[in-house]
Amino acid sequence: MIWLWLMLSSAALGQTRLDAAIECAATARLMVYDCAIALADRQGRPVDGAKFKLGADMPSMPMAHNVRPVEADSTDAPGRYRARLELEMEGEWALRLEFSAPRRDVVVKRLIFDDKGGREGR
Amino acid sequence: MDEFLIGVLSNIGLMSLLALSAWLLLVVGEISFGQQAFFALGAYAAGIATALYGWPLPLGLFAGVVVGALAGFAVAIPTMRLTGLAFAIATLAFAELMRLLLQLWVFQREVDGERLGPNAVEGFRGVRWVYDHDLSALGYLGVIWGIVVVVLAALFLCERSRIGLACRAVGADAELAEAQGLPAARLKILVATVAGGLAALGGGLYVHLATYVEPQHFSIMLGVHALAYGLIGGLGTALGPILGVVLDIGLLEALQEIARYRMIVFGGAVAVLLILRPRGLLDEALVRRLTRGKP
Amino acid sequence: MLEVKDLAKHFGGVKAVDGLDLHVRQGEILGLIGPNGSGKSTTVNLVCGVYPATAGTVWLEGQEITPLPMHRRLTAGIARTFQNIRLFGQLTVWQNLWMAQNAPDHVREQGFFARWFGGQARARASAMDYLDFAGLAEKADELASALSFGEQRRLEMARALAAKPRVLLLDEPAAGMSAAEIETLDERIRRLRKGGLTILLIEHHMELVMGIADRIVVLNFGRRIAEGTPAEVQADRAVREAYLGTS
Repeated sequence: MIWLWLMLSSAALGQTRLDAAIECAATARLMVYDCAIALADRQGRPVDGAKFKLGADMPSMPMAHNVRPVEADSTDAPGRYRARLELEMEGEWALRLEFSAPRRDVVVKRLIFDDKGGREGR
Repeated sequence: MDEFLIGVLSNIGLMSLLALSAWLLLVVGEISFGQQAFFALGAYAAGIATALYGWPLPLGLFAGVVVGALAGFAVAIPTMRLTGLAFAIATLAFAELMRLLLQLWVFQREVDGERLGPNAVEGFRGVRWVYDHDLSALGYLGVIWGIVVVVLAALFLCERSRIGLACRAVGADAELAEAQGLPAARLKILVATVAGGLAALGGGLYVHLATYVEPQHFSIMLGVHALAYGLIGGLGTALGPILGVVLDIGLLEALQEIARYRMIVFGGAVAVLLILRPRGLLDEALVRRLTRGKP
Repeated sequence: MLEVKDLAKHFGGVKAVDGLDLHVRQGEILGLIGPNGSGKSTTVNLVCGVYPATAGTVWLEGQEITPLPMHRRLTAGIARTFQNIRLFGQLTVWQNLWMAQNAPDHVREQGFFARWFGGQARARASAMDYLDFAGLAEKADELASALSFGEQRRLEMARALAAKPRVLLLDEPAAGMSAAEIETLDERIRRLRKGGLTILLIEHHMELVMGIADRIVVLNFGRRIAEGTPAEVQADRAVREAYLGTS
């Protein structure tokens, strides 16, 4: 039944994709980072009112590191959000922004984390 | 259900498919360090099918399985004459070669004003079928585990029939199996083909959950874990590799306190287990004791 | 029935088998004897295709089987037992026989799908006939590794028979057996001949082989040094020298 439903449902949703820029700063607590996220649409306009969770996976060992996703909070600045993320180790992480608003979507960003913070790499 | 739990259970299901793939080859007596390559092929093939050409997910997954099985078959033909260490190294070499090729491969198409497709080391982003079709995380978890259960059921049926026993016979003593008239080489190639398809199925499901993959995902780390799960969980039943995955991802993840030391715990556990129970927790002897008396 | 022509196997510089001709006739028991290292087991391995021959050919009922891989030689009709017992210890007794059901007859009776994926009932019934013959029927569901030495030897023979061979190669079936066990073995081999099976018997136990073999071939240094009835061979001077070591 579920297969049939999957085959038939073809309602593609709105096409304006989101773009994100992320920078994380180390906190006093080990492996806990304060992340600042800037959201924009494809035309570069800030996106406000988004609801999303920030999760993480390690590209070097997919599926094995489950970081509990944290809800991102909006700030006063346009298109700016923040979230406090706890990781398991330093290194390269793929941060995953899972949106529930303005629509269900996922944006993945790769960051390299060390004792100072995390920056987008490559 | 809690989002985090859904994520962990999805990962366990996906990793189980890869672990079962490595386990299948262990049953016929071959150690493969290269099943992650078929996982990668499945991910790329299924992702290309749905994201670039708009195929429905089931068809995309099927395409991935076909690609993975064909690759498994093609790799098995020259490597099956190798045994033990030589086979292990050959499979590893193949997987690394695949990964390096994926690091070079660019294949992009314009879809709805966006360039999508494998883009060398940048990876393959935008495999959004699940999101575009508004399939919930819980729904996708159901899809993953539905497939895992079907695969397990098929493997159980094979275990109880002559083909399963013949595979175990080949794994125990390939020369003796040949002397009994069992086509050992052909059975191994068949198993490698199925294992390739199974890993690719996991890869296809993975890319649709993650929405992106990159070549780095499919390094030897992934292959070694897949192999270790079977060795920890046990070679006696298809539930063995699942148990291995649950023990590693599930149990250690549940105990977040030790998650940071997980690689140390995991490595140590594998070493100790292989000494104490060389064929894993659910080994043949235990499985036999548990199922004795039942038809 | 089974013919070996100019067969040779060299391991490096060692000529284990060196230009051997052998002919096992339909329905007979041919004894193959010779001192240790004379090439008996190598001959069996060459006939079964364990490794390729350096030179020479093997024929079964007028068909050359030299190019066939090991598993095809069994389906062609040659089954064997091993000098050093080799069983699937993790499988049960009857399952060991199940694994050997690869003859064309089995394929025809059961069909491809049922044979590989189908139920056990038919396969088991067929296996039980041979376990009965070998006196192992009650042990059908025990692990092969749990059997005693003598039982394992009997299981080896039952397994070879379960493959429905036309030629049976027995590689020292009496090795390590008690006098009583050898007596029942002797009786079983006679019953097999009565049933029309052709047997090549490699044996060290002289009493057994002299008692039941129709003809005997004696090997030394990979060559045939004598051939004839047990009485003829026993009287042969070359044979006496080979066994007594006089030169």
